[in-house]
Amino acid sequence: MKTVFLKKMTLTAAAVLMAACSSTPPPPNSSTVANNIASKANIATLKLAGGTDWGYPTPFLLSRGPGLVHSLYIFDTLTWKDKNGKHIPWLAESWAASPDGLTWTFKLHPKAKWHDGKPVTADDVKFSVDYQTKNVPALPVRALTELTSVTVKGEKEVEFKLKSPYAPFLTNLAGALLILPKHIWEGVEDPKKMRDAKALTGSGPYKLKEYNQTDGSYWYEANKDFYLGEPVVKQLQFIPVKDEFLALQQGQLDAGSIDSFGAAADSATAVQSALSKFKTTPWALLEAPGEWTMALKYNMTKAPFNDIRFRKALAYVINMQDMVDRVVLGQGVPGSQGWATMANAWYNPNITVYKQDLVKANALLDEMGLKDSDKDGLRELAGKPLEIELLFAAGFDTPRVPELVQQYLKEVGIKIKVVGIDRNQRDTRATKGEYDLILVGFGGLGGDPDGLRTTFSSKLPRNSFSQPFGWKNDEFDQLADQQFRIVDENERRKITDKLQQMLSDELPQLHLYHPTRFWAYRKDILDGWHYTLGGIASGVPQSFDKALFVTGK
Amino acid sequence: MKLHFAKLFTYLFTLWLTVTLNFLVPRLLPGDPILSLIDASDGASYDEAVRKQLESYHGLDQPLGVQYVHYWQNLLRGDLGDSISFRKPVSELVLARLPWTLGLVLPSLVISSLIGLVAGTHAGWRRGSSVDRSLTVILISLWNLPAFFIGFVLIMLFGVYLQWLPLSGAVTRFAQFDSIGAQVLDMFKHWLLPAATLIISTIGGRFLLMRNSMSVVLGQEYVLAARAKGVTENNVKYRHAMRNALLPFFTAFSTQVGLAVTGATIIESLFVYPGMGLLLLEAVNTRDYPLVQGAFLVISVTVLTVNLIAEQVMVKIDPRIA
Amino acid sequence: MTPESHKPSPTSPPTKQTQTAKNVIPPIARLGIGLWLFFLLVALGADYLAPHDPYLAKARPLLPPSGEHWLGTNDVGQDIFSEIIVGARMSLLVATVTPSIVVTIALLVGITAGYAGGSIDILLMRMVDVMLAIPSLPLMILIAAYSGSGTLQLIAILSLFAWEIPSRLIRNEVLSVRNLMYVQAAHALGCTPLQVIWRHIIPALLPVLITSFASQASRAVFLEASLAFIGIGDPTSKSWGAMMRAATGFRGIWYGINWVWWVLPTAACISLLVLAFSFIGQGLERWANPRLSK
Repeated sequence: MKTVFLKKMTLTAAAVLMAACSSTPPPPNSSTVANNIASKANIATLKLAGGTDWGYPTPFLLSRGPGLVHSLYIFDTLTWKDKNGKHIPWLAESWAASPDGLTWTFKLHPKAKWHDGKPVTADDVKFSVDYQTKNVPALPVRALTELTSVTVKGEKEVEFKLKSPYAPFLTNLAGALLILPKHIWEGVEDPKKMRDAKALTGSGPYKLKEYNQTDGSYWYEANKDFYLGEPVVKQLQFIPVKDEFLALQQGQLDAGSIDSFGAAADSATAVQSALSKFKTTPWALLEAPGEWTMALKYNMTKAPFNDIRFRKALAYVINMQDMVDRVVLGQGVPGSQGWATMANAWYNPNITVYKQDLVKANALLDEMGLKDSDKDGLRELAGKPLEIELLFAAGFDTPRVPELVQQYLKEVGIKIKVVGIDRNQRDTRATKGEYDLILVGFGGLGGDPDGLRTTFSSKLPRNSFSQPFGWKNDEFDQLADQQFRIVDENERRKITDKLQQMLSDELPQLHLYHPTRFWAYRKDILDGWHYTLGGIASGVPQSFDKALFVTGK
Repeated sequence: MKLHFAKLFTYLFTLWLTVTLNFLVPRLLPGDPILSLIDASDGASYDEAVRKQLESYHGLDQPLGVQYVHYWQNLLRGDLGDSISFRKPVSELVLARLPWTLGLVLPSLVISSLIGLVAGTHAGWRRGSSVDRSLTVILISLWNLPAFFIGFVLIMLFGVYLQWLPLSGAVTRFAQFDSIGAQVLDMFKHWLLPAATLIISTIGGRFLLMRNSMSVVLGQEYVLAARAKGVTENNVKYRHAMRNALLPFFTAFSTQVGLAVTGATIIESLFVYPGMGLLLLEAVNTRDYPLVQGAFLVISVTVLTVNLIAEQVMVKIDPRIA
Repeated sequence: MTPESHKPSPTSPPTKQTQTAKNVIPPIARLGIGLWLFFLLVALGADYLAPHDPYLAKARPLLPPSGEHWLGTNDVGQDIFSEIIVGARMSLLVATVTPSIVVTIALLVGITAGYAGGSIDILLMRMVDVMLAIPSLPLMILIAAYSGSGTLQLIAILSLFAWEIPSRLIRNEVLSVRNLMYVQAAHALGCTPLQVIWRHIIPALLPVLITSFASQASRAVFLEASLAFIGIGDPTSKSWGAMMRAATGFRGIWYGINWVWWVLPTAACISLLVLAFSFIGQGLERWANPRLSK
């Protein structure tokens, strides 16, 4: 049903593409995917949950992160990521960077072919860069602006030149740019009008067999001539279901996510027994910490939110563990105030942690002069009772979070007036700063820590609701500008650790909780499911790793 | 004839007003259709330039008046425009959804009307009898249950516990059917629960309407006269009484067809049935102006036309309502 | 289903009971009034009757019924029984204010159209057509998105899409009364239009007004619940519709038996209150309509 579907979107889909990553330097001569193939028996059909329309899977008509994952079955990027987030060869058989980090050379896989049989050439790569610079795809490849030139060095060799060193190059460009066939797209004036079968001529392991926009169902068929070997999973079906867990129970799916009601503590034994089924053969349960965050944002251009003491007081009032226990029924962790969660490779475990402490909170509020002088149970700000409006996306996000926030703040004499607005308006108002307090949910740091800069640096324009409003820290901005030019990972980590530390001390937004991800699957059909560390491509937090479908592990 | 021209004129005026409202209302309300194309949680990917480009691509940067003229120009050519969020022509989207809604709503309304008609006739004929009382209690109680609750219970019973019927959707996607018959059966199975919800939740109204107009008719002189003349019971019941009681019943039916199309929204969203209601909800949620307009228009024209016909019929039946 | 299909019940015919005792309120109406009074008392005394603060999430989530929590707790640990009691307030508020507004508007529109006739009638009835032709549910969602989710806004939205059918009913009734002999006679005797309306037409409209009020009340309760179910309404106040939404939107609902004490009692309350207004409307119409019980 709608609510369930929306809830699901909050948890998986809305969390999208946050940044990029070069958590490991490019392997000089890594083992190819092809070597890993052929250990597993063929899988005739793998049934997964569909039900949301993520658009027609061309780079120009897809919708958001999950749409990109669909597109990636058909189209390839130069590099791919293994489950640890390490870059592995894909369409590019090998690559090398010059010592100054300004020149990158890629050698394409010699057997790489388009679905129509024509070879994939360096020309196609150069064309893809030019074409997607001129015609912005549905998910813009932001790193294209870092390029100065792309040169064809041979039929299968292409060279990229950069303005200055760019640490997230592999994640944000080589692993994010979909390579398109020049002979198809050349001369296409409006790629958004291109929706015939030809538009889906890719080089990837799958071809689209059937797609129904009305119920968001997709059916892919293996590309037998795939250059890394014929995929182990022959058919890939995304079937619309009402409830993923129920569909798993009833045997309609071979794998699916189980989220948002969790283990339900010990109070709901029926729920637990429903879950226990998936702990026994042939089922298996994959549990992974989540990156998605539910954040409380405050308008820091206004009093009292511009005062760090007030923000700290909120962090001491709100019982985040209680919130985890109630909102996601224990299936998650309290908010990590550096934004990066322990699911992320760049997580700094030493950041400041806040636990509910009403004494500290009251002391901070008193110190600010927010006192209850008329003894009506409410503190006053400039003579008026402290009543704050809290906006949330009614009909999309759960009302439980604002209810709980209201309950906690009442204990220290702050009245919260909860106002529900629809999601579209919430997004706009959160971006433009038209609020006092607002609840937003969004994805984690993802593949590359440059997200810390693009989200929190005050130098960037405010065009996203994940950015804080009215927060400026010169030291933060300066460090943020340094880190993405540093190619050495350890040097860079020192800075990103510092950035997270600063966030946790200054609290430009309050992260409330991060739900844990659960994935149940039939291991007799396909084992080896995983959440790619840092997300698929530049950071889609899903378990649909196409390398798994190709190799079977 | 004069009367008909006047009617036609007012009909066209209403149509124009509806189209204009459909155009204006979504645009005057706050909201941003571009949000469906970008990920508002990711600031780095979308600068002002990308947004401007998208706005101009969809013609949203034009003044309202210009957009309005364009809208009419396209409309007169039979072009409903392109959906912003689905990146597809609106007509294609509407055509893909409309049959599902009509297929759900029309047969359900007919079935619930037929049951209501028969049950109402019998109950009205024997008003006060035990059959009348039990029918009235059962059907009114069902009528007063919210549809989403009826649907919930049906899903729980037949989808979750018994697992006889599918939980949602309109077809089993990607299933291989041996015959057309098997495919039709599959569609029927998906149709059954939402249709049952619709039928159960509307039957009470039909029943009451028929029962009451039946009772009114029974008191009329011609029925009394027919009875006095010794016409058989069934003959009086069906030839005289029921026929006359049908008139208000049909007018009510015709005016409810249009309402039911959007009214089915809640059932469609509960059963994830791919109909117009669900499409319209998605369109409103994403502020997809062309899609909102197109879907609103199709529904409005249907309702208006049905109303016009009903009014003509009513004038014929009862000249007092001129 | 369709909340819009909840239309005023049709003109009821005379029954044996009303024929014999026209001044006694029929049992069906008394039952309705009794139910309504019951809920009214619950709503008024909610603060004393509710054993817990329904907003306070302190208990363990999803507890089964017990002496402490008669209907268990919900997904966040609030007492379901207390939620239902306090939720009666929202339903009754909506059920009182909305029909008052609707009937007032309908009376103005209906009498103006029916009495004035001619182009004014045509204009007003076209307005009704336009309002009826616009798909109301999505428009309600759209306007709710704009106006925010407060109770006042909700009532305004519910009223905005409700006056049309009662207006037309009243107008049709006025038309048929206007041509009756005694009204014509009043005109001929030189009564002013206002006098005629006040003395002859409004009394004749009483049955329609009562049924309209009752059916609008039941429609409002029904629609409030339906809208809350799809996420429209005041998120800060407890309402039965919002409870239904929370319960059926909770993913675990399909696996346990929590729905028995979470969903069923809530739905029962909605239905009983809707039923109460239907009964009142049907019963009182016969009681108030002297023409029907001649």
